[in-house]
Amino acid sequence: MNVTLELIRKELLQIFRNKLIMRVIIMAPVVQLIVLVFAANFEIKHLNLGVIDRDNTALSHSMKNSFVSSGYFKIKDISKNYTEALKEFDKENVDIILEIPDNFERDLKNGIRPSIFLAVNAINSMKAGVASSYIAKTMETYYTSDAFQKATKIISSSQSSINIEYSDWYNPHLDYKSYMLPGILCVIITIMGILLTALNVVREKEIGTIEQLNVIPITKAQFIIGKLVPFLLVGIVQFTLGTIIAVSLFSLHIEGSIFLLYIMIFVYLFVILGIGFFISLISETQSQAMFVSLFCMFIFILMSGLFTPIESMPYWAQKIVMVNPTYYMVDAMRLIILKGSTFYNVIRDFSVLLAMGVIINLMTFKFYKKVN
Amino acid sequence: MNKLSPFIRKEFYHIFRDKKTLLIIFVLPIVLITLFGFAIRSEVRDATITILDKSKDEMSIELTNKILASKYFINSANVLTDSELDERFKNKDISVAVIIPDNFSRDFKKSGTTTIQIITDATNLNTSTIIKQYISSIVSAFTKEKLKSPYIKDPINMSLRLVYNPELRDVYMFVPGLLALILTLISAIMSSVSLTKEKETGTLSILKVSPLRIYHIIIGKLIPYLFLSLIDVIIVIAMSIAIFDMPINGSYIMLFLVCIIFLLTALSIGVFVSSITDTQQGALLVSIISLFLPTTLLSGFIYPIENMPVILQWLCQIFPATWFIEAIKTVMIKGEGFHFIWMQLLVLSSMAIFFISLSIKKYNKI
Repeated sequence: MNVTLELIRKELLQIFRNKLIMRVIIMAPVVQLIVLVFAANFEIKHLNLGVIDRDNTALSHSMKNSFVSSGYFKIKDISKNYTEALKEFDKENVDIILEIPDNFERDLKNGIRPSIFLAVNAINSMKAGVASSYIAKTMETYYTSDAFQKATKIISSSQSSINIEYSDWYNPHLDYKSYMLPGILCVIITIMGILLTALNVVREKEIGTIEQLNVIPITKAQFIIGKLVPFLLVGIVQFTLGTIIAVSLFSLHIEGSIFLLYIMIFVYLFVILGIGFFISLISETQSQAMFVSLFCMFIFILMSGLFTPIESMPYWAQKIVMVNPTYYMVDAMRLIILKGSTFYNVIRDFSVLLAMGVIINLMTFKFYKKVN
Repeated sequence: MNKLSPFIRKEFYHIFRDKKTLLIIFVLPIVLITLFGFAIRSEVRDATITILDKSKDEMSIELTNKILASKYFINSANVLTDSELDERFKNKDISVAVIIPDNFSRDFKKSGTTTIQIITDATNLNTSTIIKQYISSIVSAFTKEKLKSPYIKDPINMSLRLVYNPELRDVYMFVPGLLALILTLISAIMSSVSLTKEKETGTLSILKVSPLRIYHIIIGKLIPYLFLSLIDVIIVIAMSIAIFDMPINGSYIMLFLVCIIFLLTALSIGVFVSSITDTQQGALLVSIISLFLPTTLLSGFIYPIENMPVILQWLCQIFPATWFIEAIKTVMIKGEGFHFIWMQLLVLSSMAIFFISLSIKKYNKI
């Protein structure tokens, strides 16, 4: 036991002495949290609308106004002709061009259907989809507006409707931050965990100090534990730091038990560090270890359900997600932090992570023998 | 140049002997494209829904069927009471619940309006917003059907045209960003680590006393990575065209020009990072934080820049990936040529020159 403790102490000392790593360990959660929380936003706040009003009548103005008052659009440009408007469109200063023909009011008053033309910049397909639905909604509201009905005497029977009352559960403030923060904390410790562990042993291999370790009387178990525990501590420190920032700066409210949260982090780090260690065993150089780690990280993070929903993935992708430890961690974190779930609710996540941890560390244990 | 070629050959040998890394250099883009192309979707499909119909009359059953018939939803076991809902949400059996009150048809026929309730699991904000939109459009289509409107068509004919991407394809969204990511990874990070390795193991000092000048050494180190990155660009673009039918509206020459300029910028930053760190580990960590993460998050790749607070938007402009993605999109999607992207190319080239000069200065001091 003493030997293991000594090994752990040595690793920790090496980490503390390395100023760069210390800085990264502390700065990474801070910077990432702040940046990610503010940057990570899919909500489309408003769309820039460029208007070409050839009619310039009361009705064309009232239609323009209904676009503005819908709150979805911001009128960025009023051009005289299509070529000018297109320039703004190409420069991406406007997302939508609306052209109102010159016979607009006259036709409406005479019972003829006029046409309006809309060009939507569809490079961002999500934006374009949202734009189409906002436009449809705005037009519907316009038809029921007083201005339209008085002027055209067209009575729209949209007085009758099925109203919808929305309830957003578990996230009453519709706070995107609350949604992303648990996952981001997870990403930070995943990246650091895999990288630091993977690089650590490989560095010893490259420098040659691993030979020294192989000839002193320590058992495999002592060696592995001596390597993993320090990084486990680093991971927990980072998570704590990140959580403190999230709670104090971003007012994240943790619904469930913090103790349960730490248990999950502990078991997750168990898996992640095991994977990092395994990577370091199968790599000969640091750049190899780096590449393999980055590769794993990519897949884990992208397929974790953090940025895109799992339910939307095709069948084969969902199967891959089932073996992704990050998925279970993000799931458990969201359940605990946002829904206040109990141990019973997260038992699936816990058991899978525990099993994965045991498997990967056993593999590492066995594999190290061959190298030794 | 003769002095340089053995050096470059040696670098190539080093890389090609390292089969594992080589494998990943070529496999990574393939895997990423597959993931982004097939697995990562921003739209919602097969969301689990339950409909609590308290009326069970003609209209409510019709509405229920209409919602369930949509391809976006999968019916979960019908919940019988309100109290069950919480447990179902917590167990993730359902993502959304629709509650139709009793006397649905009667209220609608009598007063013309009625209200249904949609409960979404808002912990997954993206999905819940999209789900709400889906349901509300199904409901309004249903409403229009039910109303005997004298107008079959709307009073105004709306002609809507989707420009640049008429089929609303996701492909345009991720291929540019993916290119930026892979290029950054391979050229910048790999080169910075490789150069730092020479520092770490001491072989750089040996090189410094050789007849090779410092910029020879740097160029010699970078050329293999430039070459490998270009191969990856070809792989990514070929796959996008072959598998995803991504059309390239601009000229291929322009496309490669933009990629090469970005590559040079990324490489120059890699060199710079290697000049300020002493260990490989350090080079890796600094590269990741200063290049990799911003390229993923702050370049407009996943999260649109215009949604960010203004300060962050300015920050995004510091990163080369942002300019690269703009330029690439202009060439690929809009099919525009040089005179539209000259500013991006200028910015990227200046960044490259800036970093290379800084690095050479730093290396001369070592």
